[in-house]
Amino acid sequence: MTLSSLVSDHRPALPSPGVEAGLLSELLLLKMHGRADHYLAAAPDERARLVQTCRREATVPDLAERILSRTIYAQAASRVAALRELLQNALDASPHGGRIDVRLSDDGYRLTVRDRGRGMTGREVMQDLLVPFCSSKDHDEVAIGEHGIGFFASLEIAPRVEVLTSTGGEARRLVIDPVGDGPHHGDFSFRLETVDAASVTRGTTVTLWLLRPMTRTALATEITAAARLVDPYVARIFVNDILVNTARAHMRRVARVPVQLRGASTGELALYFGRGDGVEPTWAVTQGGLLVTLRQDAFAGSDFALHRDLVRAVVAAGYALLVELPSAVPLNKGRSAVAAYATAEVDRAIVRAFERFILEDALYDRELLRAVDHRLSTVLDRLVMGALMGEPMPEPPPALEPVPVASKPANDEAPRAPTVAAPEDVVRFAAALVDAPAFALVSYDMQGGELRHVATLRGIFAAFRGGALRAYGESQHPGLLYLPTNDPLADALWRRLMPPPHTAEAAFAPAGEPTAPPTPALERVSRTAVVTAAAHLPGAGTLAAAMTILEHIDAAISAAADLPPSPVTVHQALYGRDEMAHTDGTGISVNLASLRVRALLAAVVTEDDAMAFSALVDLLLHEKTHVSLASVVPRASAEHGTTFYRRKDLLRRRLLEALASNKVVDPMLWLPTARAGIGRARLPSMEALAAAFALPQRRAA
Amino acid sequence: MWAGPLGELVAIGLWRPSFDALCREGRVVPARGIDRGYLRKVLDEEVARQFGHPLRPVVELVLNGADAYSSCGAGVVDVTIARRPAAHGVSRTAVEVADLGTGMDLTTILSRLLVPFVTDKQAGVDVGRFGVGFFSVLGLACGSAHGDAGASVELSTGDGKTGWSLRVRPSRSGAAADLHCELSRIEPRRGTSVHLDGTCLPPDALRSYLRETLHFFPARRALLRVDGEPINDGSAVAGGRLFTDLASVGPPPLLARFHLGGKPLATGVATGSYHAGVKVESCLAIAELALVDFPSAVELTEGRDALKPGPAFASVAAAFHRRLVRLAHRAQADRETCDRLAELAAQASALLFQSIGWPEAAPMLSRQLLGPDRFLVGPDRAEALLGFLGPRAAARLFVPESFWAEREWQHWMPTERDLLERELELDPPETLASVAARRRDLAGLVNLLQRAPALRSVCLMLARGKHPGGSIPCLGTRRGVLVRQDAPAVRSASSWSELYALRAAFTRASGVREPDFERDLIVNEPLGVGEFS
Repeated sequence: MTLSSLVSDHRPALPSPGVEAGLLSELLLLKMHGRADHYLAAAPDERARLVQTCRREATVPDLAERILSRTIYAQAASRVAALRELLQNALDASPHGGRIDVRLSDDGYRLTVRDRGRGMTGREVMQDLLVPFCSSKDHDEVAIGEHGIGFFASLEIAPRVEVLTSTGGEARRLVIDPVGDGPHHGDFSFRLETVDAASVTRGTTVTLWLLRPMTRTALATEITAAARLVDPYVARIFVNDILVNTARAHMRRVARVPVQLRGASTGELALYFGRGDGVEPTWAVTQGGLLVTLRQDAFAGSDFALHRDLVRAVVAAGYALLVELPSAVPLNKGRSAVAAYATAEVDRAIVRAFERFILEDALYDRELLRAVDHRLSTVLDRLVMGALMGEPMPEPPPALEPVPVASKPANDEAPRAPTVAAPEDVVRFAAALVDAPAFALVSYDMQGGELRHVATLRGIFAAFRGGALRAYGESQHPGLLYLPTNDPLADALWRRLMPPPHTAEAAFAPAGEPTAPPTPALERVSRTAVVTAAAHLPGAGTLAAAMTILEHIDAAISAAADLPPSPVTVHQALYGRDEMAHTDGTGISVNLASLRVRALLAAVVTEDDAMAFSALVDLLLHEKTHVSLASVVPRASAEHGTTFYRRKDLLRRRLLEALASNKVVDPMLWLPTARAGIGRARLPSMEALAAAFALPQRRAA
Repeated sequence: MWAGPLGELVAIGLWRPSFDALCREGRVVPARGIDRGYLRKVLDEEVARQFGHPLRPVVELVLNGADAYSSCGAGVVDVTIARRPAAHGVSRTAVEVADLGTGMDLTTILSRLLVPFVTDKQAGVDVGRFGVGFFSVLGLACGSAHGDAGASVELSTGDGKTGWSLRVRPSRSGAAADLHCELSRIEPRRGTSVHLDGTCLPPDALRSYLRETLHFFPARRALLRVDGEPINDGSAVAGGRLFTDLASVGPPPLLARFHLGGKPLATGVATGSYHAGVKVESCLAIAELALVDFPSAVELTEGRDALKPGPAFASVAAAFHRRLVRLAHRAQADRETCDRLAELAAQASALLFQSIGWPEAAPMLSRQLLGPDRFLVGPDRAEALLGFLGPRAAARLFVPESFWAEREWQHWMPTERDLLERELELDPPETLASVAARRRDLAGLVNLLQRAPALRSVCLMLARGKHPGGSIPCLGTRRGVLVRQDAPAVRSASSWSELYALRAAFTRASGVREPDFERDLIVNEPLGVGEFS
């Protein structure tokens, strides 16, 4: 047994020159009792007396130990938090773009975090690093560390810690060891000694001897989770030589909003948005790129349902939304949230940033809109509802004038009452959504030239109410406005605006209705109606045969998928000429005004054209998918998204399976029967058919 | 009796000479021996930076009230919330939290209530035991936004023999140490009531937050009432069942509570993790589960928004997984239900248990709930695989809908790749054109190339299955399109359904989006006859 092992009890031996040693609790006690400076200057035996005096004077003798244990053991909810704090310190110290290295030893017990920053002097270590709530960063504008407790978090996962730091001029080694039995140690001893400055490069290296070993994968995962959003321009973080903060490259800043706290500006909050490798589809809040919270629901409270739906839709489409807090925004001690007193202000800023993003960015991002799947319907429903709840639509509508480009959304800088989630804010947001120039409309001049207009939802509502709105491609009348529905947002809106045909008729009826529509419209008529009311028309037999085949195709699809069969009808030009078929949620109607539909029907009635037959099957599968989703999704107008196509795949698979196993009869077998009795195959002309079923008011016109 | 800034009052409580003078003789001696600058900093952290949720301090008050009964049986904690007439266009709210439990005398106020980090509360018995609950309430007095002056806090308490009042008013600086305090003697009383009055407590939000956070608080500890209406009487959730399970054998034994099933009846009430009946984190992603209660043996962070993982935490997670298995066995659940339970377990593990104990739980759950020979498949791939492998494969796929469940399971189950490797023999990759030229016997492929020459350079692998396949003869994978050469649609091209099956399957498997396929087939495909009039 050596002499040194005899004396190195948990009370360290008398410090030799250039060496400081003691207990962390004593440093804290002396600081609280205003004797810290005195202590540092005092000789060893006087130091012990000072500690005794402070203990005697304290009402709560073990206060220092209590504070220490709270600070070490009650802050972090996970190992990540301690690592996050170490990274935080390294980031604050690092020069711009500097390299931070995190390494784990082969046995998984020794973890080092190394920065190449400014290092700490011996005095800084004694007065700031080792005393909770003291921070050398108190007056640093850029540094995020502020609580002065970050370093202590690492003692929870590693009771033995070594810090090697060099400012370039002086270098120190600090060793912290636990006192007493764990896992929750009541106190820690420290020993700070000078080392040869020439042997240490500038910067700080923190070495943790972990209580429980980690794997390198786990370390990489945890560091990545905490720091993947750090801007690599600020610092590059390497875990065992692999760069982990790469996600920022896939994200772009979409909004900036200033934050005011207690009357003073604390800088700008920024909203980032993107997807790609290493970006998890979540809503996250970061500060300096380090994760603060990962929230499942971004906006709490019933007033923010619209915002919440939008966030869910965006995140579910695989995008990340990231709020980067300005460095001056205070966090709570555990850094798991914004400090309560700042929550209201920060939340308000987040709401504004998000609204800006939606109004000025998201609504024009076609890729995003396409990706948001059928959830778009919910959002759009809310949008339309929000619009109606906002301001009443202008009456009478400025129907036939080109829709002006909307001005910027409502003034964001207007002073607001200091309440969270004021309903008027939501109304304003909804109104701004209505005025966002997110759509395009097409009109035609007298020469048939195509004019494109930027349009707002409000403008489209106005045109719709004035009876001047049509789907693009339907016709080319000057004075009417055409909505190109190849755009996902416009398509969803069009489906929403299109009520059942009777209402549509009324909506389209007033002034502005052209007297001679190019295609004679026809309400949906069934096969029975065709054979009774239109039997006299040339080609009625062919049409009835074609409809029989469609009915058999639908019957096969329905039987294969255990769905009730849908009534099959035909119509003409209800939604323009390019539309081939539609559904009202139960029935399927094909458009006889579509030349392609006529060609397909003709092809299957006259000969066994397999491709034409397949095309009709696929068309009916598409419509049947809408029908089958109508019972799941509250609207018949389920959008074309992932859910939709997944369901269509299912219906197709079931149909082909049933056909292959002879569970349903191949509808093509009905062709000879359907053809029987048709002489020369021809379909009735559009005009004749429309005339045979003309509505009374249409006849009057 | 005493009036001045909070910093001074706390310093008196910390420094024995001043403390003794005030408590024994009612004499004020300035606390010379305390570093005010440091105390300021500590107070600032303790008062204003505890919690993330602005209303959480009120919950702490309620819990303090409940703890006041811990030595004298269950009682009632009453919260009254009233909107006050608006002044200068800003409406104020008055909140009172009152209990009739053990109150405090002057010594307790000075050396316990007003000294940060110090508390006499016992682990496992009392809920609040960080000694910062009341300090966080003072944070409300500090104010937040510009123009928000902060709330006033008034505490009245007594141990039955004496009565004390502590009034705290906002200061101009907003710093915790500067809050103006007034300590005075009042009529003897028993119990404690805290009265808050300020602009930062929206009444409706506060009501729903209290209900959301405390609706599972055990009523045998204390009945909590908001405006006279009980909030922890079970009325916020309909149906479902509460299980109390042994999470580990003591001493003392650790009991965990799980509420499974049921439907929330109030807004904000959702699945979440609870600590001794107080909500810690919400988890909206899980519909079937209302509560996982981490008993007091599991530590909570000081911010009250997360649980600290530890041995007890792992035992609760393990107990939860065991409970799911037992439920499934007792109900003799069918495959679908078991799959849903396995998904639920993974969701809960990822979202509530921080994946702790999952490496142990996953093999057990996989064995007990999923059974042998199951393969993890994402919802995007399930349909394509079923079409390719045939409906018989359905029983072997485990398709969790939730992203979290899929991520949690992915290292613990064989995947699609393993399934395909087992089911198929593959030829080396070739282009469609070269296969069609080499294998004239595969009439479907030859015909497909004629019909859709654009697909000629698509890379495919001919596959032979060990079992008969499904109705979709192609499958898109990262390595290329797999084509079953034993499928009728590949071998012959005689009926419309064969043509259609191969055309749709191959096109989609080669990465063409469905809308583009629809356009090509329905709109653009050349027909045998011309336009018909």
